[in-house]
Amino acid sequence: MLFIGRLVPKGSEVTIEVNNELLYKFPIDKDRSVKISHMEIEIKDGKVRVADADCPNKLCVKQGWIDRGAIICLPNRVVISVVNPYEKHDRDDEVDAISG
Amino acid sequence: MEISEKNQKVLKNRKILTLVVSLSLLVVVLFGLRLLSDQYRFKVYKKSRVAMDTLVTLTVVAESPRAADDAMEAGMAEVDYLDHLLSIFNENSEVTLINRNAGIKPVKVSMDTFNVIKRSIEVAGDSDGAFDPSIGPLSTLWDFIKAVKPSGNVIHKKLHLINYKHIAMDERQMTVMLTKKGMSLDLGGIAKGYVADRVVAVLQSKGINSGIAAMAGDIKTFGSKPHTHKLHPNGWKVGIRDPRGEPESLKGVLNLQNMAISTAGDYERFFIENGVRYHHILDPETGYPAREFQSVTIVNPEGVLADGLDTAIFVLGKDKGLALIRRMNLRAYIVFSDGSTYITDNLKEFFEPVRNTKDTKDTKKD
Repeated sequence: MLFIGRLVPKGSEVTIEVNNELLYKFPIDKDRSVKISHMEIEIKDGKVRVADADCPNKLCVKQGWIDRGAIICLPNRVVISVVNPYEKHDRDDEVDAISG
Repeated sequence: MEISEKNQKVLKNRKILTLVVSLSLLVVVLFGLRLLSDQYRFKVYKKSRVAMDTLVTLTVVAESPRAADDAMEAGMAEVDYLDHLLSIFNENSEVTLINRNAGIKPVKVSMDTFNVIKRSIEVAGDSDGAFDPSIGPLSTLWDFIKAVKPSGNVIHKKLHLINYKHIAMDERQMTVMLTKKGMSLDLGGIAKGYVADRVVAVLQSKGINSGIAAMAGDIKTFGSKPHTHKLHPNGWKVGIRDPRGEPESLKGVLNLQNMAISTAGDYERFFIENGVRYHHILDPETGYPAREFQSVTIVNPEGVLADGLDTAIFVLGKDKGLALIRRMNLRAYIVFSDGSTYITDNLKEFFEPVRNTKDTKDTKKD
Protein backbone atom coordinates (compact mmCIF):
# COMPACT_ATOMS: atom_id res chain seq x y z
CA MET A 1 0.00 0.00 0.00
CA LEU A 2 1.34 3.36 -0.99
CA PHE A 3 0.54 6.52 0.90
CA ILE A 4 0.48 9.71 -1.06
CA GLY A 5 -0.45 12.62 1.11
CA ARG A 6 0.45 15.14 -1.51
CA LEU A 7 0.95 14.65 -5.17
CA VAL A 8 2.92 17.80 -5.67
CA PRO A 9 4.69 19.95 -3.09
CA LYS A 10 3.10 23.12 -1.79
CA GLY A 11 4.05 26.12 -3.88
CA SER A 12 5.00 29.66 -2.98
CA GLU A 13 4.12 31.50 -6.17
CA VAL A 14 0.90 31.80 -8.17
CA THR A 15 1.28 32.07 -11.91
CA ILE A 16 -1.60 32.94 -14.22
CA GLU A 17 -1.21 31.99 -17.86
CA VAL A 18 -3.63 32.78 -20.66
CA ASN A 19 -3.06 31.30 -24.12
CA ASN A 20 0.27 29.96 -22.90
CA GLU A 21 1.48 33.49 -22.11
CA LEU A 22 2.44 34.33 -18.55
CA LEU A 23 0.12 37.14 -17.44
CA TYR A 24 0.82 37.42 -13.71
CA LYS A 25 3.15 36.05 -11.08
CA PHE A 26 2.19 36.68 -7.43
CA PRO A 27 3.56 35.50 -4.09
CA ILE A 28 0.92 33.24 -2.53
CA ASP A 29 1.31 34.69 0.96
CA LYS A 30 -0.03 38.12 0.02
CA ASP A 31 -3.83 38.40 -0.21
CA ARG A 32 -5.25 39.96 -3.35
CA SER A 33 -7.81 39.43 -6.06
CA VAL A 34 -7.35 39.94 -9.77
CA LYS A 35 -9.76 40.10 -12.68
CA ILE A 36 -8.80 38.64 -16.04
CA SER A 37 -11.07 38.04 -19.01
CA HIS A 38 -13.74 35.43 -18.16
CA MET A 39 -12.82 35.09 -14.49
CA GLU A 40 -11.98 36.55 -11.11
CA ILE A 41 -9.12 35.02 -9.17
CA GLU A 42 -8.60 35.35 -5.43
CA ILE A 43 -5.48 34.73 -3.35
CA LYS A 44 -6.00 34.45 0.41
CA ASP A 45 -4.27 32.81 3.37
CA GLY A 46 -1.71 31.06 1.18
CA LYS A 47 -4.31 29.62 -1.19
CA VAL A 48 -5.77 30.54 -4.54
CA ARG A 49 -9.18 29.98 -6.15
CA VAL A 50 -11.33 31.11 -9.02
CA ALA A 51 -13.98 33.19 -7.25
CA ASP A 52 -16.18 33.63 -10.30
CA ALA A 53 -16.24 32.74 -13.99
CA ASP A 54 -18.58 33.48 -16.87
CA CYS A 55 -18.56 29.95 -18.33
CA PRO A 56 -21.62 27.63 -18.12
CA ASN A 57 -20.34 24.76 -15.98
CA LYS A 58 -17.82 26.66 -13.78
CA LEU A 59 -15.57 23.66 -13.17
CA CYS A 60 -12.77 26.03 -12.23
CA VAL A 61 -14.90 27.64 -9.50
CA LYS A 62 -16.00 24.24 -8.21
CA GLN A 63 -12.38 23.19 -7.76
CA GLY A 64 -12.19 25.63 -4.83
CA TRP A 65 -9.04 26.67 -2.96
CA ILE A 66 -5.69 25.12 -3.87
CA ASP A 67 -2.22 25.54 -2.39
CA ARG A 68 -0.46 23.27 -4.90
CA GLY A 69 -1.04 21.97 -8.40
CA ALA A 70 -3.15 23.91 -10.87
CA ILE A 71 -6.60 25.07 -11.87
CA ILE A 72 -7.05 24.67 -15.60
CA CYS A 73 -9.78 26.18 -17.73
CA LEU A 74 -9.51 24.64 -21.17
CA PRO A 75 -12.28 26.57 -22.96
CA ASN A 76 -10.64 29.89 -22.06
CA ARG A 77 -7.10 28.49 -22.11
CA VAL A 78 -6.35 29.72 -18.60
CA VAL A 79 -3.87 27.89 -16.35
CA ILE A 80 -3.50 29.04 -12.75
CA SER A 81 -0.60 27.20 -11.13
CA VAL A 82 0.86 27.24 -7.66
CA VAL A 83 4.55 26.71 -8.24
CA ASN A 84 7.72 26.58 -6.26
CA PRO A 85 10.50 28.34 -8.17
CA TYR A 86 13.05 25.97 -6.64
CA GLU A 87 10.96 22.90 -7.16
CA LYS A 88 12.71 19.66 -7.98
CA HIS A 89 10.92 17.06 -10.05
CA ASP A 90 12.75 14.02 -8.79
CA ARG A 91 11.19 13.52 -5.39
CA ASP A 92 10.13 10.02 -4.52
CA ASP A 93 6.80 10.72 -2.88
CA GLU A 94 5.29 12.35 -5.95
CA VAL A 95 3.74 10.96 -9.05
CA ASP A 96 5.18 12.07 -12.38
CA ALA A 97 1.91 12.13 -14.31
CA ILE A 98 -1.77 11.28 -13.90
CA SER A 99 -3.88 9.30 -16.37
CA GLY A 100 -7.60 9.89 -16.46
CA MET B 1 69.78 -21.25 -16.88
CA GLU B 2 66.77 -22.68 -18.67
CA ILE B 3 64.69 -22.72 -15.51
CA SER B 4 65.48 -19.13 -14.68
CA GLU B 5 64.54 -18.07 -18.24
CA LYS B 6 61.26 -19.87 -17.84
CA ASN B 7 60.73 -18.14 -14.51
CA GLN B 8 61.41 -14.80 -16.08
CA LYS B 9 58.86 -15.52 -18.79
CA VAL B 10 56.27 -16.45 -16.17
CA LEU B 11 57.09 -13.30 -14.23
CA LYS B 12 56.73 -11.20 -17.37
CA ASN B 13 53.38 -12.81 -18.14
CA ARG B 14 52.26 -12.13 -14.60
CA LYS B 15 53.24 -8.49 -14.90
CA ILE B 16 51.25 -8.17 -18.10
CA LEU B 17 48.32 -9.91 -16.46
CA THR B 18 48.50 -7.58 -13.44
CA LEU B 19 48.67 -4.59 -15.75
CA VAL B 20 45.66 -5.77 -17.75
CA VAL B 21 43.66 -6.47 -14.60
CA SER B 22 44.47 -3.12 -13.00
CA LEU B 23 43.77 -1.26 -16.24
CA SER B 24 40.40 -2.91 -16.57
CA LEU B 25 39.69 -2.15 -12.92
CA LEU B 26 40.54 1.47 -13.59
CA VAL B 27 38.18 1.50 -16.56
CA VAL B 28 35.42 0.03 -14.41
CA VAL B 29 36.04 2.59 -11.64
CA LEU B 30 36.14 5.51 -14.11
CA PHE B 31 32.99 4.27 -15.79
CA GLY B 32 31.33 3.98 -12.41
CA LEU B 33 32.36 7.51 -11.49
CA ARG B 34 31.00 8.73 -14.80
CA LEU B 35 27.70 7.03 -14.15
CA LEU B 36 27.60 8.62 -10.71
CA SER B 37 28.41 12.07 -12.02
CA ASP B 38 25.80 11.61 -14.78
CA GLN B 39 23.30 10.85 -12.13
CA TYR B 40 24.02 14.16 -10.46
CA ARG B 41 24.30 16.21 -13.62
CA PHE B 42 21.10 14.91 -15.20
CA LYS B 43 17.94 16.51 -13.86
CA VAL B 44 14.24 16.27 -14.51
CA TYR B 45 12.68 19.19 -16.40
CA LYS B 46 9.01 19.82 -17.07
CA LYS B 47 6.98 22.09 -19.31
CA SER B 48 3.20 22.45 -19.70
CA ARG B 49 1.15 24.12 -22.38
CA VAL B 50 -2.45 24.24 -23.51
CA ALA B 51 -2.59 22.50 -26.90
CA MET B 52 -4.90 20.01 -28.67
CA ASP B 53 -7.70 21.36 -26.46
CA THR B 54 -5.99 19.90 -23.42
CA LEU B 55 -3.02 20.41 -21.14
CA VAL B 56 0.14 18.97 -22.66
CA THR B 57 2.99 18.32 -20.22
CA LEU B 58 6.43 17.19 -21.31
CA THR B 59 8.97 15.80 -18.83
CA VAL B 60 12.57 15.18 -19.84
CA VAL B 61 15.76 14.06 -18.11
CA ALA B 62 18.53 16.23 -19.50
CA GLU B 63 22.04 17.35 -18.61
CA SER B 64 21.33 21.07 -18.92
CA PRO B 65 18.32 23.39 -18.87
CA ARG B 66 19.16 24.31 -22.42
CA ALA B 67 19.20 20.75 -23.73
CA ALA B 68 15.89 20.18 -21.94
CA ASP B 69 14.34 23.31 -23.40
CA ASP B 70 15.48 22.58 -26.97
CA ALA B 71 13.98 19.11 -26.84
CA MET B 72 10.73 20.20 -25.17
CA GLU B 73 10.23 23.02 -27.69
CA ALA B 74 10.68 20.52 -30.54
CA GLY B 75 8.20 18.20 -28.79
CA MET B 76 5.62 20.97 -28.42
CA ALA B 77 6.09 21.92 -32.07
CA GLU B 78 5.29 18.30 -33.02
CA VAL B 79 2.07 18.50 -30.96
CA ASP B 80 1.03 21.65 -32.80
CA TYR B 81 1.93 20.14 -36.17
CA LEU B 82 -0.10 16.98 -35.58
CA ASP B 83 -3.03 18.92 -34.11
CA HIS B 84 -3.01 21.00 -37.26
CA LEU B 85 -3.38 17.79 -39.33
CA LEU B 86 -5.85 15.88 -37.18
CA SER B 87 -8.19 18.32 -35.43
CA ILE B 88 -11.82 18.44 -36.52
CA PHE B 89 -12.07 21.89 -34.95
CA ASN B 90 -9.52 23.25 -37.39
CA GLU B 91 -11.14 24.18 -40.70
CA ASN B 92 -7.94 23.58 -42.62
CA SER B 93 -6.86 20.28 -41.12
CA GLU B 94 -6.41 17.25 -43.35
CA VAL B 95 -9.13 15.43 -41.43
CA THR B 96 -11.55 18.30 -42.03
CA LEU B 97 -10.64 18.11 -45.71
CA ILE B 98 -11.41 14.38 -45.77
CA ASN B 99 -14.76 15.06 -44.05
CA ARG B 100 -15.66 17.82 -46.47
CA ASN B 101 -15.05 15.46 -49.38
CA ALA B 102 -17.11 12.59 -47.99
CA GLY B 103 -18.92 10.85 -50.83
CA ILE B 104 -17.12 13.11 -53.31
CA LYS B 105 -13.46 12.20 -53.78
CA PRO B 106 -10.29 10.77 -52.16
CA VAL B 107 -8.04 13.26 -50.37
CA LYS B 108 -4.26 13.04 -50.46
CA VAL B 109 -2.85 13.26 -46.92
CA SER B 110 0.49 13.32 -45.14
CA MET B 111 1.99 10.19 -43.63
CA ASP B 112 0.96 10.96 -40.06
CA THR B 113 -2.69 11.47 -40.96
CA PHE B 114 -2.66 8.29 -43.04
CA ASN B 115 -1.05 6.32 -40.20
CA VAL B 116 -3.47 7.46 -37.47
CA ILE B 117 -6.47 6.62 -39.63
CA LYS B 118 -4.97 3.26 -40.56
CA ARG B 119 -4.30 2.41 -36.90
CA SER B 120 -7.77 3.60 -35.88
CA ILE B 121 -9.33 1.24 -38.43
CA GLU B 122 -7.26 -1.61 -36.94
CA VAL B 123 -8.63 -0.85 -33.47
CA ALA B 124 -12.14 -0.61 -34.93
CA GLY B 125 -11.66 -4.06 -36.48
CA ASP B 126 -10.28 -5.53 -33.24
CA SER B 127 -13.27 -4.23 -31.29
CA ASP B 128 -15.90 -5.02 -33.92
CA GLY B 129 -16.69 -1.31 -34.31
CA ALA B 130 -17.06 -0.47 -30.60
CA PHE B 131 -14.36 2.07 -31.31
CA ASP B 132 -15.07 3.74 -34.63
CA PRO B 133 -13.09 6.67 -36.08
CA SER B 134 -16.07 7.57 -38.28
CA ILE B 135 -18.13 8.54 -35.22
CA GLY B 136 -18.10 12.21 -36.33
CA PRO B 137 -21.80 12.53 -37.29
CA LEU B 138 -22.75 11.38 -33.76
CA SER B 139 -20.06 13.02 -31.63
CA THR B 140 -20.71 16.44 -33.12
CA LEU B 141 -24.40 16.24 -32.10
CA TRP B 142 -23.47 16.23 -28.42
CA ASP B 143 -21.88 19.16 -26.59
CA PHE B 144 -20.68 18.19 -23.14
CA ILE B 145 -19.52 21.67 -22.16
CA LYS B 146 -22.81 23.34 -23.03
CA ALA B 147 -24.80 20.29 -21.84
CA VAL B 148 -26.48 19.68 -25.20
CA LYS B 149 -28.28 16.33 -25.48
CA PRO B 150 -29.64 15.62 -28.96
CA SER B 151 -33.07 14.10 -29.37
CA GLY B 152 -33.40 10.35 -29.89
CA ASN B 153 -34.78 10.92 -33.35
CA VAL B 154 -31.83 13.03 -34.47
CA ILE B 155 -29.38 10.48 -33.04
CA HIS B 156 -31.14 7.61 -34.78
CA LYS B 157 -30.90 9.30 -38.18
CA LYS B 158 -27.10 9.56 -37.91
CA LEU B 159 -26.24 6.05 -36.75
CA HIS B 160 -26.18 4.45 -40.23
CA LEU B 161 -23.38 6.84 -41.24
CA ILE B 162 -20.98 5.41 -38.66
CA ASN B 163 -19.05 2.53 -40.18
CA TYR B 164 -15.27 2.30 -40.40
CA LYS B 165 -15.63 -0.18 -43.27
CA HIS B 166 -16.65 2.73 -45.47
CA ILE B 167 -13.31 4.46 -45.07
CA ALA B 168 -11.33 3.76 -48.24
CA MET B 169 -7.56 3.99 -47.96
CA ASP B 170 -5.08 3.85 -50.82
CA GLU B 171 -1.60 3.20 -49.48
CA ARG B 172 0.16 3.84 -52.78
CA GLN B 173 -1.58 7.15 -53.46
CA MET B 174 -1.68 8.03 -49.72
CA THR B 175 -5.32 8.98 -50.02
CA VAL B 176 -8.31 8.58 -47.74
CA MET B 177 -11.94 8.73 -48.76
CA LEU B 178 -15.20 8.44 -46.86
CA THR B 179 -17.38 6.64 -49.36
CA LYS B 180 -20.78 7.83 -48.10
CA LYS B 181 -21.97 11.40 -48.13
CA GLY B 182 -22.56 12.72 -44.60
CA MET B 183 -19.84 10.53 -43.06
CA SER B 184 -17.15 12.22 -40.98
CA LEU B 185 -14.07 11.24 -39.01
CA ASP B 186 -13.47 12.20 -35.40
CA LEU B 187 -10.09 10.95 -34.23
CA GLY B 188 -10.53 12.35 -30.70
CA GLY B 189 -10.51 8.82 -29.26
CA ILE B 190 -7.07 7.90 -30.59
CA ALA B 191 -5.15 10.98 -31.80
CA LYS B 192 -3.65 11.95 -28.43
CA GLY B 193 -2.13 8.51 -27.97
CA TYR B 194 -0.59 8.72 -31.42
CA VAL B 195 0.72 12.22 -30.71
CA ALA B 196 2.31 10.97 -27.46
CA ASP B 197 4.15 8.28 -29.48
CA ARG B 198 5.36 10.84 -32.02
CA VAL B 199 6.46 13.37 -29.38
CA VAL B 200 8.54 10.70 -27.63
CA ALA B 201 10.23 9.93 -30.98
CA VAL B 202 11.01 13.64 -31.41
CA LEU B 203 12.41 13.96 -27.86
CA GLN B 204 14.59 10.90 -28.48
CA SER B 205 15.84 12.34 -31.77
CA LYS B 206 16.94 15.37 -29.73
CA GLY B 207 19.15 13.12 -27.60
CA ILE B 208 16.78 12.70 -24.63
CA ASN B 209 16.90 9.18 -23.21
CA SER B 210 14.11 9.36 -20.70
CA GLY B 211 10.98 11.33 -19.98
CA ILE B 212 7.23 11.53 -20.40
CA ALA B 213 4.90 12.94 -23.04
CA ALA B 214 1.48 13.55 -21.49
CA MET B 215 -1.44 14.76 -23.59
CA ALA B 216 -3.50 15.22 -20.41
CA GLY B 217 -4.31 11.58 -19.50
CA ASP B 218 -2.85 9.99 -22.63
CA ILE B 219 0.70 9.39 -21.55
CA LYS B 220 3.82 7.76 -22.91
CA THR B 221 6.89 7.15 -20.76
CA PHE B 222 10.37 6.28 -21.99
CA GLY B 223 13.64 5.43 -20.26
CA SER B 224 13.98 5.57 -16.50
CA LYS B 225 13.66 8.16 -13.77
CA PRO B 226 16.82 9.23 -11.96
CA HIS B 227 17.16 8.94 -8.14
CA THR B 228 14.28 6.63 -7.58
CA HIS B 229 13.70 4.70 -4.44
CA LYS B 230 14.98 1.14 -4.22
CA LEU B 231 11.44 -0.17 -3.92
CA HIS B 232 10.40 1.44 -7.18
CA PRO B 233 13.33 0.73 -9.43
CA ASN B 234 13.69 3.23 -12.21
CA GLY B 235 10.11 3.56 -13.32
CA TRP B 236 8.09 6.69 -13.90
CA LYS B 237 5.16 6.88 -11.53
CA VAL B 238 1.86 7.45 -13.22
CA GLY B 239 -1.29 7.77 -11.13
CA ILE B 240 -4.72 6.52 -12.16
CA ARG B 241 -7.45 8.98 -11.22
CA ASP B 242 -10.25 8.06 -8.87
CA PRO B 243 -13.33 8.54 -11.10
CA ARG B 244 -15.52 9.86 -8.28
CA GLY B 245 -12.86 11.56 -6.14
CA GLU B 246 -11.28 15.01 -6.17
CA PRO B 247 -9.24 15.76 -9.32
CA GLU B 248 -6.05 14.82 -7.48
CA SER B 249 -7.19 11.68 -5.70
CA LEU B 250 -5.90 8.45 -7.16
CA LYS B 251 -6.90 4.81 -7.31
CA GLY B 252 -3.34 3.65 -7.66
CA VAL B 253 0.10 4.35 -9.06
CA LEU B 254 1.80 2.45 -11.86
CA ASN B 255 5.52 2.18 -12.17
CA LEU B 256 6.19 2.40 -15.89
CA GLN B 257 9.16 2.21 -18.22
CA ASN B 258 8.79 2.49 -21.99
CA MET B 259 5.06 2.07 -21.64
CA ALA B 260 2.12 4.21 -22.68
CA ILE B 261 -1.02 4.54 -20.61
CA SER B 262 -4.45 5.89 -21.44
CA THR B 263 -7.65 6.15 -19.45
CA ALA B 264 -11.16 6.53 -20.80
CA GLY B 265 -13.33 7.95 -18.02
CA ASP B 266 -16.94 9.06 -17.73
CA TYR B 267 -15.83 12.06 -15.63
CA GLU B 268 -13.66 13.84 -18.20
CA ARG B 269 -16.37 15.54 -20.24
CA PHE B 270 -19.91 15.14 -18.99
CA PHE B 271 -23.05 16.80 -17.76
CA ILE B 272 -25.78 15.55 -15.46
CA GLU B 273 -29.43 15.93 -16.44
CA ASN B 274 -32.28 14.64 -14.24
CA GLY B 275 -29.75 12.65 -12.25
CA VAL B 276 -28.33 10.89 -15.32
CA ARG B 277 -24.69 11.31 -16.26
CA TYR B 278 -24.12 11.97 -19.95
CA HIS B 279 -20.44 11.63 -20.87
CA HIS B 280 -18.36 11.74 -24.03
CA ILE B 281 -17.68 8.01 -24.55
CA LEU B 282 -20.44 7.23 -27.02
CA ASP B 283 -21.54 3.80 -28.20
CA PRO B 284 -21.70 3.95 -32.03
CA GLU B 285 -24.45 1.33 -31.95
CA THR B 286 -26.90 3.15 -29.67
CA GLY B 287 -25.70 6.74 -30.03
CA TYR B 288 -25.67 7.16 -26.22
CA PRO B 289 -22.90 7.13 -23.60
CA ALA B 290 -21.67 3.63 -22.66
CA ARG B 291 -22.78 2.68 -19.14
CA GLU B 292 -20.88 -0.23 -17.63
CA PHE B 293 -17.65 1.44 -16.48
CA GLN B 294 -16.48 4.57 -14.69
CA SER B 295 -13.03 4.23 -16.21
CA VAL B 296 -10.88 1.91 -18.29
CA THR B 297 -7.10 2.25 -18.20
CA ILE B 298 -4.91 0.46 -20.74
CA VAL B 299 -1.12 0.11 -20.54
CA ASN B 300 0.64 -0.73 -23.80
CA PRO B 301 4.02 -0.07 -25.44
CA GLU B 302 2.20 1.98 -28.07
CA GLY B 303 0.22 5.07 -27.08
CA VAL B 304 -1.96 4.85 -30.17
CA LEU B 305 -3.19 1.40 -29.10
CA ALA B 306 -3.62 2.31 -25.43
CA ASP B 307 -5.70 5.33 -26.43
CA GLY B 308 -7.87 3.58 -29.00
CA LEU B 309 -8.42 0.43 -26.96
CA ASP B 310 -9.45 2.15 -23.70
CA THR B 311 -12.40 3.67 -25.56
CA ALA B 312 -13.14 0.40 -27.37
CA ILE B 313 -13.29 -1.57 -24.11
CA PHE B 314 -15.29 1.13 -22.35
CA VAL B 315 -17.91 0.91 -25.10
CA LEU B 316 -17.88 -2.91 -25.26
CA GLY B 317 -18.85 -3.10 -21.59
CA LYS B 318 -18.16 -5.74 -18.99
CA ASP B 319 -18.57 -9.07 -20.82
CA LYS B 320 -17.29 -8.24 -24.29
CA GLY B 321 -14.70 -5.75 -22.97
CA LEU B 322 -13.08 -8.22 -20.60
CA ALA B 323 -13.17 -10.86 -23.36
CA LEU B 324 -11.25 -8.51 -25.67
CA ILE B 325 -8.73 -7.81 -22.89
CA ARG B 326 -8.15 -11.56 -22.52
CA ARG B 327 -8.01 -12.20 -26.26
CA MET B 328 -5.42 -9.45 -26.88
CA ASN B 329 -3.63 -10.14 -23.57
CA LEU B 330 -3.93 -6.44 -22.67
CA ARG B 331 -2.77 -4.81 -19.42
CA ALA B 332 -5.82 -3.13 -17.94
CA TYR B 333 -7.16 -1.47 -14.80
CA ILE B 334 -10.90 -1.03 -14.64
CA VAL B 335 -13.37 0.78 -12.39
CA PHE B 336 -16.88 -0.64 -12.88
CA SER B 337 -19.98 1.54 -12.66
CA ASP B 338 -20.61 0.33 -9.06
CA GLY B 339 -17.11 1.50 -8.07
CA SER B 340 -15.53 -1.96 -7.79
CA THR B 341 -12.19 -2.46 -9.52
CA TYR B 342 -10.38 -5.08 -11.56
CA ILE B 343 -6.74 -5.36 -12.58
CA THR B 344 -5.27 -7.87 -15.03
CA ASP B 345 -2.58 -10.21 -13.67
CA ASN B 346 0.02 -8.88 -16.12
CA LEU B 347 -0.33 -5.36 -14.68
CA LYS B 348 -0.22 -6.25 -10.98
CA GLU B 349 3.57 -6.13 -10.63
CA PHE B 350 3.59 -2.49 -11.78
CA PHE B 351 0.66 -1.37 -9.62
CA GLU B 352 0.39 0.00 -6.12
CA PRO B 353 -2.97 1.02 -4.67
CA VAL B 354 -3.10 4.47 -3.11
CA ARG B 355 -4.58 5.70 0.09
CA ASN B 356 -4.99 9.43 0.24
CA THR B 357 -4.31 11.29 3.47
CA LYS B 358 -8.02 11.98 3.84
CA ASP B 359 -8.83 8.26 3.80
CA THR B 360 -6.06 7.60 6.31
CA LYS B 361 -7.61 10.06 8.74
CA ASP B 362 -10.99 8.41 8.31
CA THR B 363 -9.48 5.01 9.03
CA LYS B 364 -7.88 6.32 12.23
CA LYS B 365 -11.23 7.57 13.44
CA ASP B 366 -12.77 4.12 13.13
